[in-house]
Amino acid sequence: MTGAVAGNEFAHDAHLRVMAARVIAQQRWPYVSSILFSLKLVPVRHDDLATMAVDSGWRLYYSPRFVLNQTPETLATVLLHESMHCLHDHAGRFSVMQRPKEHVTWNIAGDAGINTILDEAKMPWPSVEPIRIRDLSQWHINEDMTTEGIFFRLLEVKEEQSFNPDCGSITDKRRRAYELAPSHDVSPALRIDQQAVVRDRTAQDILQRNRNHGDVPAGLLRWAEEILEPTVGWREELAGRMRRDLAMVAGRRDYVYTRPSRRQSVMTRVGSTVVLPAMRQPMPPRVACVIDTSGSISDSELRDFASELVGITRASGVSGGVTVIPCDASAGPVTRIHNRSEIERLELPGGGGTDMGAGIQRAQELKPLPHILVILTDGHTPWPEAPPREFSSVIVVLSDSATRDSVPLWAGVIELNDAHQSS
Amino acid sequence: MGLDVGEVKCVATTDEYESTYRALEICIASRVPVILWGPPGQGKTSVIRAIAKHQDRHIEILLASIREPQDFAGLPSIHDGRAHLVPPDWAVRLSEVSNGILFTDEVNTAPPSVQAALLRVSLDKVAGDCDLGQDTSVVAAANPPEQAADGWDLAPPLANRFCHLPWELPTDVVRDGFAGKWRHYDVPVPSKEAIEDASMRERVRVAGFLTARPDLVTVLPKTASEQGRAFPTPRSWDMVATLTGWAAACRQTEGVMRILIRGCVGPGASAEYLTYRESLDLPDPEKVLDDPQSFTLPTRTDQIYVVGAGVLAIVRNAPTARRWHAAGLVFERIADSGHPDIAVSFARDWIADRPSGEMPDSAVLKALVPLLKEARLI
Repeated sequence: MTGAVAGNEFAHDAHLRVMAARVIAQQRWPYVSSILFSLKLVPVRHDDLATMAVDSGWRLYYSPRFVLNQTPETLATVLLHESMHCLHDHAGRFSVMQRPKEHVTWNIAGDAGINTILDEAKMPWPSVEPIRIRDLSQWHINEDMTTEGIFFRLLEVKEEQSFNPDCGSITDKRRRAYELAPSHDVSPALRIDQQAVVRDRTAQDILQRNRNHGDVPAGLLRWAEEILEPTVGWREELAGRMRRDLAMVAGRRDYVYTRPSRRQSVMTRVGSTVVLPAMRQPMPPRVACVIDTSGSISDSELRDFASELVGITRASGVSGGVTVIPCDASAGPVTRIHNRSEIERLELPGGGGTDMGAGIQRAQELKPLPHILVILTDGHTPWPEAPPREFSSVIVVLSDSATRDSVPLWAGVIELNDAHQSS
Repeated sequence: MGLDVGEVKCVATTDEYESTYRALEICIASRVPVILWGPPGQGKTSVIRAIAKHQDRHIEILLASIREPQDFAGLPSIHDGRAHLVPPDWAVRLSEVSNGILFTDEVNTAPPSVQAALLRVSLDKVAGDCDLGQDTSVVAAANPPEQAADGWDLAPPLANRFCHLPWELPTDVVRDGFAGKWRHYDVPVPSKEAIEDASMRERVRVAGFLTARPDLVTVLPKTASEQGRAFPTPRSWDMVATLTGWAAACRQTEGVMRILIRGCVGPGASAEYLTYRESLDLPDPEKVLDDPQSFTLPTRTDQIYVVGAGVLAIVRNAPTARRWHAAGLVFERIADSGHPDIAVSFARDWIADRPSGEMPDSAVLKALVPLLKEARLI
């Protein structure tokens, strides 16, 4: 039994109200149209569901009495709220965490994030005030946290919540009594894989809208970018580049035919004609970094970066440590760091004026020459005209992405993005 | 403690696992090189063994990280003053069966020179002087560089030859596995004619899309790690055509299609292509305008919206009185099919673009006005 309400005037009015709300929601955020219009509208008895909910097959259930007590404008906000559960795939994400008993906490965590985005867009609420992230700030929950982050924090504090939301199985995949069968002939569930395609399309519409109008809420834009243009954090990026460069420089554990193998004589002795390669293992690669100390790079950014660099080189088997050249308008005293504790003691004098050219020149004078040069700077600096050919690779780590285009082509560029600092 | 989990979840659901599993089977059956990205111990080897058994094919399993370049390129040996590249025994076995599967694990922990040698094996299906046969499937597995203790990103030319699939075992699949039931999903092997038909259709679609979006033919990623994954090039678009052809011929879901397309060209280009591909199955807006009474409305409501939006867009591009009235009839039909809210969402722009002196037909107004009033838009 599904508890569907028989058609009468009351039901007709309620249906019209929900559709009006959907029209208003669509006018507010045209870029979520694909999700909004994917939802099938299903009335249910007020005893079964007192408000509005969506199931994991994207069918929207509503109590006619509830919707007729709302204005189309406030109802539109509720519709967008439910659409964002679909957008964020809260059902799928909850199911992989294997914490089925904590579904209420998960619903709260999801709602707080969603409502904060709706608040940002100044949407009118029904009479009941919904939960926002700021209501949870006493537990150090902030807007940069993911739904999972908020969820685990709430579980840690184990505080009884006064909220007890139920947005339907779209948040937790637990089937509710009022739900239609997945293969219902009038309102079949949208399959999980079709949902993913609709989500992709919505993300695309959001990016398009942002390019043309620039008026998409930040929370939605961030979601769309993560779906379609996932960026790699600077740590992974730096590690990836360094590993490749180190491998190229060092040829560690690499094979060459330019020199005969030490075991070649054995082959000849046993009468084999096979030619064996030798292992190539030159001197361990040397890494130097020039650090812009002119003041625009914060101390934490700097130590973060240095610690990462030392970590990567150590993990890649470079034993000699990293040579550090502080540089503002001229190069400062050269030091060498081997481990993370030395980073804490690192003294980096500096001040006004910036010329990374001076730091690069200092690195060119180092004996022995480094193979790889990494430069941490905000990019507001002149660069040498000619590529420094002494190094097999130059990597520039930028703290200010606006200067990306001014970095010469001979250097690889990595942006220090903010996203990773908050987590 | 879970706080750094990205907004995009990182563990697969069972549905995603099934779709990825099927996508893998299609890659192997269609001979498109495929690489699985995932942490060690995720049952990759046993799944590939199961697929090999199902497709009744010989399989050779190699661990790239403990191999040397000669294991893939052949050992140089001098006879009569000429260097021969003596093939390793696994290559000889594969060439004997001619339609085997070569599975190479841990390719990104292999030194760059081994990766380079592997490039020739996966591209030309040749190891040393030994031709493995074009009917051989190449499968690779790699640990994401951030998880591998000592990994390298794949070099872009190697990465671009593979369809990239994320591989992670959902908890319930593991649970059932320990209870003795590892899940297996069989993808039927379609007839040769069915594949040729479907591949031709998909090839035309890809060509149409790339004509409309020449900017997506080749997009080289900016960062080194992204260059080690899927990105669009003419070659990866060609793989898209082959794989979607197979997937269509054996009637796989859109989810499997999506995973295959993402695996070849990456998420951004994949989403754009899927939208384009889906729109081809919907009524053509120009034809709808020519005959608004008799086109078939899609059954999915989000697709009805796409048809309406398409009609509105082309009317606004060339707003003659006849086309404008025809669009009104389309919206009336959408409204009468039980979706006045979809029709009304276009009504505002449609009425704003009214050619001078024209008024909407009364039947159209009758279909739209009650909801326009309820939403307080008039």
